[in-house]
Amino acid sequence: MNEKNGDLTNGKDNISQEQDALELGKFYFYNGRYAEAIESFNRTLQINKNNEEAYYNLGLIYENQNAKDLAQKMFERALQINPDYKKANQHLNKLKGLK
Amino acid sequence: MKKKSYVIIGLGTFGSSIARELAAKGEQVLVIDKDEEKVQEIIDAVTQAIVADATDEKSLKSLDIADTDYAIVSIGDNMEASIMITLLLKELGVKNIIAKGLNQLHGKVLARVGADRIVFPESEMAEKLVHSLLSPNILEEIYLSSDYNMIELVAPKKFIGKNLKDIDLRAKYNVILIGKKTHVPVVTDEGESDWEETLSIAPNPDEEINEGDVLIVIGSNEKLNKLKEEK
Repeated sequence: MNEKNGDLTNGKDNISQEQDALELGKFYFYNGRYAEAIESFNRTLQINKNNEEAYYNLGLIYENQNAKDLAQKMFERALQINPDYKKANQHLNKLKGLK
Repeated sequence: MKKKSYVIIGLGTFGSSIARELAAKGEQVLVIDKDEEKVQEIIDAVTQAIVADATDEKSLKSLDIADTDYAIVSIGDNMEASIMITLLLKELGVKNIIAKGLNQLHGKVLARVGADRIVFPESEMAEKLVHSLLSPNILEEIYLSSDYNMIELVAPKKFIGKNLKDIDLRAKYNVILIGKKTHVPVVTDEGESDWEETLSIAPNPDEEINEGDVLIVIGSNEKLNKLKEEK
């Protein structure tokens, strides 16, 4: 549900904008365009700060850059939003050195 | 290849981990501890688990373990016991005795009474941790000789986008690249993003270095240090 305003049309736009930004980010990720991917995932979060998949994907990219602290923060945030997020948990455990 | 047999004496964290790991890999594992609870806990995971006081010569002899390929004395809280057990195993004729040392002096005594190899898990892990904290770009370092090491190094930023031919590690750094790990972005069947790690040995000189690549390099410590400094 769109918390920003009660206008249904705008709500739909926001959600689809959010989805578009997320999908675009994943597209960039899949094509190895990580700087652009980061931008898109950040945009996703600007629209909806609770998009766990955006955090997860950012975590993946930072993990690959060996920016462990940042990656860890992202996975933790994703898990805060969705404690059942299996992949986020897997990656977080790996960063922490757990099996 | 014939399966080897292992006897592990002492079911603390270290001993239990070794026992479970070996058993999981299909090896023949016999564990001994004087604590019945510890033995019960592990009994289903290993070939055989016995409650016995290994410092008692008669008990140890009766277990008939002289022909084992390896005996591991993993007693972490009693130097005297680990020394006595090592000595008894040596007298029984066990051919390969590995013992956990609690400090360097203890290690020396263990070696004197017959241990073929001493391990110091806490201090070895401490050393590893320190290295990883001081050099977070070095994921692994393997000692080859007093002058040469092999390292797994996260590719420095200045290499990204270049190909191996241009970076020319051999000519510019006097090190040899033997492999390269790359993380390929994938999408799972469920539509989730993830990484797939691939390893190429003796990579093609035309291959490009991507962000996140890990270089596996052999060289002298001096030359490796120069490479480690690159950002």
